[in-house]
Amino acid sequence: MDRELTDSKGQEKHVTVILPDKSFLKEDLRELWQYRELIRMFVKRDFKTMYAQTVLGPAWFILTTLFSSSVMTLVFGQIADIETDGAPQFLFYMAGNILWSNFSGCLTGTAGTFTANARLMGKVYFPRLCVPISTVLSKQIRFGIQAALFFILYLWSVWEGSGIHPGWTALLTPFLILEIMALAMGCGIIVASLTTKYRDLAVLINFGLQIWMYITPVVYPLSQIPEKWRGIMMLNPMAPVVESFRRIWFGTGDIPGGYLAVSACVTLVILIIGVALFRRAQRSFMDTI
Amino acid sequence: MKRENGQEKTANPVIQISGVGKTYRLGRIGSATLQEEFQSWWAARRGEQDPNTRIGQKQSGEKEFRALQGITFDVDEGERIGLIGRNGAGKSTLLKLLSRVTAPSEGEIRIWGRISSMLEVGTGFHGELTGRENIYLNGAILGMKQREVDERIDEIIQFSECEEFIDTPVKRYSSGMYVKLAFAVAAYLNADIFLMDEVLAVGDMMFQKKCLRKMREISEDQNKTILYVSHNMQTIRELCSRCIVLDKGRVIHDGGVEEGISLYMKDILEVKNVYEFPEEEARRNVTGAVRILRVEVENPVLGQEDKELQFRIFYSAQGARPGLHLRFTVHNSEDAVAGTGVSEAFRAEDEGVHSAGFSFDTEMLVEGEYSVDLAVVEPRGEVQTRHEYIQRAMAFRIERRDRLYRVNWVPRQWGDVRFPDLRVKE
Repeated sequence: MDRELTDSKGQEKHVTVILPDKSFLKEDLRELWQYRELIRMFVKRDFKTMYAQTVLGPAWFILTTLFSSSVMTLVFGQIADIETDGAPQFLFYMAGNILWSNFSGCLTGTAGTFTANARLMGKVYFPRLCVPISTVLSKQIRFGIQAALFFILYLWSVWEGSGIHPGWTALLTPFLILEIMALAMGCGIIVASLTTKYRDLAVLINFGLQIWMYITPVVYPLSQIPEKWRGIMMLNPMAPVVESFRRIWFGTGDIPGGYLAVSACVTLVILIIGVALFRRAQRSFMDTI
Repeated sequence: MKRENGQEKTANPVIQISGVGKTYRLGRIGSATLQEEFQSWWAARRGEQDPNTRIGQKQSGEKEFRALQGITFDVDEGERIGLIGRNGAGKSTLLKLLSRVTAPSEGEIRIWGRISSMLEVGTGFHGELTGRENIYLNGAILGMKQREVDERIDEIIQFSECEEFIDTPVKRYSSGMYVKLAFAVAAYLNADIFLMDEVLAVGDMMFQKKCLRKMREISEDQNKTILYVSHNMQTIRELCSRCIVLDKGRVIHDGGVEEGISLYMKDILEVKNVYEFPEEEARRNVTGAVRILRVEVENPVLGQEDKELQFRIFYSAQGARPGLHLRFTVHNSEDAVAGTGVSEAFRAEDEGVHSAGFSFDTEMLVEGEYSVDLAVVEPRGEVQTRHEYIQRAMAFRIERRDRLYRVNWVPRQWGDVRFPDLRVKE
């Protein structure tokens, strides 16, 4: 859409050409980069309002995580008595819990991109992808706080002699988090794009996420699944991510490299489909409200 | 940019619009939800009637609304253009195209330089953030880098007249303060082209004057281009050097300001019996809980014995509203406000379309043509909620020769309202 042109007088001026349609992915990315400041401001805004809107501020994220992980430990660990492959139960559930809530938080957040920003988007142009990207980034603040708590408890557990220890593959952790973000954003913007046409889709998100959580090894380890089903289960792109995170930090097995690679590819495909749908939706969206 | 050679300031286009059209699709009821889509698909498969189309409606017959067609004009650097037209004439759509919010259906727009649009109250501002933080946020939304805002923040704060509260969360600001802040950010943005859509409608007169002065200054000193949309002809006169009048999506005038305004006034003062307001049209700064769909005027031309203007409005409501009032603001043929009346309470019993009849005593108005802004308001305690607001919604003409003046009435000097005759006491 935009091109730097040099006009006849030799002075450089930014020329915008607006045509019935048309812009290419490469241009999009370049423009997104130009607007990185806006992404930063959106994240900053989310961060500030997070403090302002909850009574306890970030302490809230710690409390909710501790509470929900405790309930999981009680229900799945104590009452249902599910094996954790030798990992300390509380840490086991907490790991699954914070990873999954990061995923579902990013997904639901990005799914509301259009509905939450309709008025602003009706008024001024900026690369629409700034919104989901900043949403995902701001959710990482919450995740960061929860992860810090997790690692404090983890170190404490090591100190206490629980016998757990991370492998070298722990260096893969940032990659896992990145994949969660990418996958959540990909799915989220697909939903966001479709909800511009089908409003009732929004209602299905929570339902879908709940089902998705149960087919992902969040409240149980993969080893609890019968051998023959494991292969199919691991095709769920979230499954190898959560499973790998636990295996590398609790030393409960080797990372499922093949499945992880497949999962990364699936994530990439979903992200590309998402961006493509999103670009279509952002155009028609303004014409339907 | 100024050309280096030649003394004469030659025109340099900053915006070129050629053959631009914008078509919206309306009435796609069939695909609002997945469930309905599925129902339609299922019915189609079984050869039944689509359960989601209105009876009698042609299947998949999409209505189209041509908001703009065949728009072609150039804007030169440093011009201040007033864009006027009736509601739904396409002014806002044109600004949306220029600000790249939506893409044209046909034609091409070329823009040289950076565009700044002033954000409306409530968009681009976050209540929990302070005024200062919102300036940065707003700047970023408009594409400004942080260091650019840094350079100008003092001027912005000073202009906004909000110094005292600049570190207070803006949720505590009044709407007037929002407007000031928003205008200040937009005006100090280092852009080449400024788009302003009815932005000064809120805010006090003093500030409005200050803003217009500022815009003039920016344009004259820095050769910036301004596109200004307003229903307030006085501000168009004050600010603009050129006027474009739109009607039903087409340019019907492009040139002098006074000619444009008089053409527009003739156009909006169309005295007729029925005025329709399509539900699809966007409204501004209203809740939309009540919408006026149609106004029927029984006697738009008031003759000798006609004192009461009789009209009926048809409105839709989202749920019961017991205490609604119609606010009726009358403008004269030069677009100055003559006065405002407020109706007695009327109601909407439930969801759906209702109608209410009104009569307006025109006794006090002198001969001439008048246009009317209609607003539906609902007072609740201290606050008044505005559900609907249509500028220049209807018009009427008073043709009666009034009581003897002894001399001719001079509206320009005496106004449009003749008060009751003064009594003489011995």
